[in-house]
Amino acid sequence: MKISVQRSGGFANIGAHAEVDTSTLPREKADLLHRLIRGAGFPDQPAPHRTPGAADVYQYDITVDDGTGSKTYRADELSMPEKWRAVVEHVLGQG
Amino acid sequence: MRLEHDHVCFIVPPHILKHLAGSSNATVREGAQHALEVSAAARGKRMAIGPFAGLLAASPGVKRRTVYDERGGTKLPGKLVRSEGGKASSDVSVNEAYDYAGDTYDFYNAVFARNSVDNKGMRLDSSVHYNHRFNNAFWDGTQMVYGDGDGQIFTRFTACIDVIGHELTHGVTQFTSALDYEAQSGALNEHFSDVMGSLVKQWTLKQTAAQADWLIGKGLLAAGVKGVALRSMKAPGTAYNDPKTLGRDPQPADMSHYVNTNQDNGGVHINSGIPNKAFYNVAAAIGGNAWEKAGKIWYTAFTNKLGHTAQFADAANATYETAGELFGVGKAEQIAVGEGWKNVGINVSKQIIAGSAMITVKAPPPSQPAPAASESAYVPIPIKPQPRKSKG
Repeated sequence: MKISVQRSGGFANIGAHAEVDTSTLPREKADLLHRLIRGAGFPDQPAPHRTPGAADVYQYDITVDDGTGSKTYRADELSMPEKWRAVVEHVLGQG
Repeated sequence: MRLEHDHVCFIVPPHILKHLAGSSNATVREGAQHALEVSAAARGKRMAIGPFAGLLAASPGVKRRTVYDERGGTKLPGKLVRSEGGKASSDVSVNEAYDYAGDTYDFYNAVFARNSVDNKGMRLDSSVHYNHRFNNAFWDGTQMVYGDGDGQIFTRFTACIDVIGHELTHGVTQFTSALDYEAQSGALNEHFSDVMGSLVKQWTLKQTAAQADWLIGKGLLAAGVKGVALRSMKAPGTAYNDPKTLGRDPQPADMSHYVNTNQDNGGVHINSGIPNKAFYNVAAAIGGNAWEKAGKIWYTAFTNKLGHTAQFADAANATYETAGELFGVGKAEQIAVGEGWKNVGINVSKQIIAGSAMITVKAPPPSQPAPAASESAYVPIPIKPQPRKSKG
């Protein structure tokens, strides 16, 4: 499984990107990431989360490719569900 | 931010990610990592707004500011450290947030007779020291939030009056055109914040259009970063060029270089360079103090004539028509607006030019705030020629 996190936007528009392929990770790390992804509760039909009226907040795109196809889930810094944030922080923190 | 054999992770503008792929500067990487660690506490924000609702609309015509200290946290708004009329803090960030929010309030009030963000005296709340080494400043829908910068690429975001004017103007937009924060309408939202941010700075410095630097975020880049600011309205795409940190300023200056991207809400901080250049063109052509004519045209058009889905062409039409209403059809100001947009590849529609020509009376700018978010982006309202009243 490949998971990538792309951050963009913000007042200064300074991005960040990290990508992880669990097949290249040690078993323990791969299992942890699989659990986080399962726990994130990503919807079947991705719909972006956006904070009404907010501007200059970071945009996050989480792309998950499980081998059968990839889906991208979008949320801004303030509206991101807690379980998505766990994935973002883990992937960017590992990166 | 760390680089490991099985991961790729770097902090740079999206358009030049490759530049930092090989970065070996551990301090830069670490600072970037801190900026990414947005606490889960921010999620409580929505619920916290409720109790403040009653405080947001009171005392018309009175400037009210509060500054909160996040102390590295992200649960907004943080600890109250300065209120209106309170004595200065020993913390420079607190004082900058307070003083520059005050200048922005004074600017809007003196130049456009606007009473705060909502035109009803809404209290201006700012939170400083948000998160750790946070390379951003934002408007969260209710207040301004400022990071300290990582010290490697950015210094503190409160240091620039135009940054504070920019963030506060997002509030003004929220209460007027409510421009969708996506693609062209989002770039117009960003553009209007840059325009007013720059004008607040010019107004406080008493600079004419010719004297102004037209930079956004001058002084924000840390020592050693090759650049003068984050954006240049006069010359989009030239604000910085540093392969080791930020890469190159990606802003286009005309429509032929419009950037299509799904990042940054469709490039709202990138394509804003196009209307930014148009505004500079207009202000430079008219001359004098930019806030007096070009600024007034833009403010009137953006707060009264644009709906939430407005595109660049709508802004060109609205500002052109407004220039005719404020300063006369076919006068130098209106010509400057038409030429300013044409220079960046956007033409005012023939329908608007024809409609504008029907205006025979110099009308004062509407004083009422526009309704939030109309259905269409901008529908020209036919203005009938008014018969001249004969004297005697």
